[in-house]
Amino acid sequence: MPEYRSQMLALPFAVVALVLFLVQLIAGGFLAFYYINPDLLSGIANFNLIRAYHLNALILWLFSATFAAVFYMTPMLSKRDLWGQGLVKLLAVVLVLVTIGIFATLPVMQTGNNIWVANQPMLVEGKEYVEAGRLWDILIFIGFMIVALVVQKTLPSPREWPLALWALVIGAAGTFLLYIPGNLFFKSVVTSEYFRWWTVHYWVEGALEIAYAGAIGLVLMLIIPDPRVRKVVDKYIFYDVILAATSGIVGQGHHYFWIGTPTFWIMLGGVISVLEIVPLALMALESLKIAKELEQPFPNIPSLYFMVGILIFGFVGVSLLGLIQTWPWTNWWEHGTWVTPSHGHECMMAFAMGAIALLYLAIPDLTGKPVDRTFVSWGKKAFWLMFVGQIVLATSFGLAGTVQIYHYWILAEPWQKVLEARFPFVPGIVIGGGMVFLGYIYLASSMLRHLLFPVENESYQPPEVKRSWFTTFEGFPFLVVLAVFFALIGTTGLWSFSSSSVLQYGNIWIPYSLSAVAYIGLGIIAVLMASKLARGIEYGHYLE
Amino acid sequence: MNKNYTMTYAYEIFFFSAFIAGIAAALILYVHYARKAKRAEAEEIPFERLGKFMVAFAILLIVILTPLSIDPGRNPDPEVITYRGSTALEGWKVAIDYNCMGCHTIVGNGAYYAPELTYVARKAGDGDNIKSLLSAYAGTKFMPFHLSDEEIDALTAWMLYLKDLNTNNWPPMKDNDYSFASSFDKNAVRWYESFDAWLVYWVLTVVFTVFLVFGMFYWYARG
Ligand code: HEC
Repeated sequence: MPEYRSQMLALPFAVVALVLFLVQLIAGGFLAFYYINPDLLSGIANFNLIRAYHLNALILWLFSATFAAVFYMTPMLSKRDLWGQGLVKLLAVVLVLVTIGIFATLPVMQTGNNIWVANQPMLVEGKEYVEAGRLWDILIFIGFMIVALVVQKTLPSPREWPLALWALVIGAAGTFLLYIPGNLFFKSVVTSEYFRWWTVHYWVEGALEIAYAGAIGLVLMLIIPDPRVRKVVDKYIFYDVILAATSGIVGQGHHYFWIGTPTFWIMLGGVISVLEIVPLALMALESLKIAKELEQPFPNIPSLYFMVGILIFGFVGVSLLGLIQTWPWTNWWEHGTWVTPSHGHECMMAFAMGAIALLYLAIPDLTGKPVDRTFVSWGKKAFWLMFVGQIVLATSFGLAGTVQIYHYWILAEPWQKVLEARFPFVPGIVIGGGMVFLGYIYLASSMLRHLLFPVENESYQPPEVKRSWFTTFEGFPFLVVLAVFFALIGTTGLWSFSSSSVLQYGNIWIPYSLSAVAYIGLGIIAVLMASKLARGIEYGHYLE
Repeated sequence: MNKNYTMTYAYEIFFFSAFIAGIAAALILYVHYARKAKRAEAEEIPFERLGKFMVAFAILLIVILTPLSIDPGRNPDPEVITYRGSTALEGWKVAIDYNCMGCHTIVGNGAYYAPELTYVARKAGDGDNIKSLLSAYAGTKFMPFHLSDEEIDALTAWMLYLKDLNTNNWPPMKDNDYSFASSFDKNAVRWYESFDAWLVYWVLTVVFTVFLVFGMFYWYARG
């Protein structure tokens, strides 16, 4: 049993998150299937409907997991039970109803029977990421208010908050507030897109990043009760938040190059969004310092692995795959092609892993059972399958996108030809997605087993493993620099589409081979980095 | 000069001076804190106030840039563009009802299952061509839903509107020399979008960048 009974209220949210994650993965599988056989489902569940499920399930399960983390951590931080437990139960019910409501009304997009009230769409909003109708947005917002109220009433006065908690609160509040602008209907497509990115970009690059940095900092502080930890964490959180916010807020400009907004964004967005890699690179380096400074074995290995996952996907997926396409000269080519989702999928997986890390941490504590061997070994399998699977998927998207640029923009082929050109990479997407799905099975079964069945009595103890290059931090900073180098190769690859060598003489092997080197290289480096960091900490090989 | 222009100029001057003042203030603070941090004890967080200032500056910048970004003078008015009596605005609502963005991209954003709509509109050229494309695909296995004649007219108007958006020459086409760079002056609507203004942006942004990168690594090196 947990220290405070009301922490148990986190459980229903965790379960909802797990179920919706499954829905998201299944929807993703169907999307991939559309590229293999477009006829089978067409007319029953159209591509756009399944994609809306894929995205909305993701958003809802991230919300749900975040709620779970909040309700789990708030009592620990305030050293008393949650205020308004009835409201929390109500929230769980509202969340389930809203989810059902969204999923039941999204099919309206197949018949076009939307309802408009006061010039605002009620059942379907028809824009990427914010498809869910206004009706449900209002309920979701009421849900946010409930969380805010419960947290505010439970926590002690803000004067006593550590910085990490501030980060979590600011991040969470930001997530809620930034949900509004993207949802509004504007007459102009430009204005509408301008504000939709406020939701999408500021979630990823701002609010969620800050919230997860705060949550991880709090977790470290709670599981390692050492006054030194608070100091280290405070410093780390502060820099992360400041750097992410400064570069992320104006870095938004990389979404404003071609949507009808003024040309100054090409300059501002182009240069400042390049800086977005700095906070994430520093975060990866900083984690080594923190580990070394703490000199403590990490008590919850699955959670450790997924936290490493956030760091590495944060660095490689969010910042470096982002870097490849954030320059105006490369974005010009890749915008609107499959290069974009290569970055998008790793970004979202970084946040998914953040949520999973928090769930893994909370569950043994809520059940009061030890973190046993099976829990750890399934958790690790889940991590590696999801991690490598997502890299395979992202690499396939990136390479297919590069091919698409040539066939669609330069050769200006008809769409069916473009699909054919992309087709050889679809198996990669299917295999990668399949691995993620398998990883999910391990994830869900490790958690359900822990919740429902008796577990072994002994806690997991990491075995004695011989030190090797793959399990120590040695050379990690070098890998960070090497990864940036590979990202620059990828940048050159996309940029070379503008060269006369490609445009006039058709030397298409130049961008193709540069992209292949970059994407595959980055994938390998990501795996090496994760192995060094996660296994290094697990086996204690970072200790001198 | 009418009142509107005066307002716009006042606004633009404010925008630029705010930008320059912000950079200057940031630099002065940076130097100040860099010197202070050298002397500071390792206990405290160096650059605390500078960091907060930077965030405030970034937020201020985005607040200033927002009204300029959605400047209605830069793009056609969706209520003015029509096709057979339907406005582009009506078409935009139909596009939302059917979630075109879940299969197609619009100005590059959306799903990649079907062709980019701005591009389709630019290649098709005029309303009748666009309409015939829409009629040809609606109700097929590619787009398995029924569109009424009115809806198709409205969507055509909307795609004509997409075609006329000032997208800095995107998407890449032979017609635009596969280059956005040639569009700076051609697509500039206000003076701050012209190529001359760009030189100012260059200088300002380089200063900003050097400042940020240098500052960040300095922070990191200090631990
Ligand atoms: C279920 C997915 C889906 C949805 C929703 C959808 N489309 Fe399509 N659309 C397609 C596919 C697939 C094609 C066929 C591309 C091809 O093979 O040429 C297509 C083709 C088109 C074409 C012709 C393109 C060309 O170059 O020949 C136009 C125009 C078009 N769609 C407009 C729209 C509009 C406007 C909407 C919103 C009302 C919409 N589509 C919604 C999937 C969709």
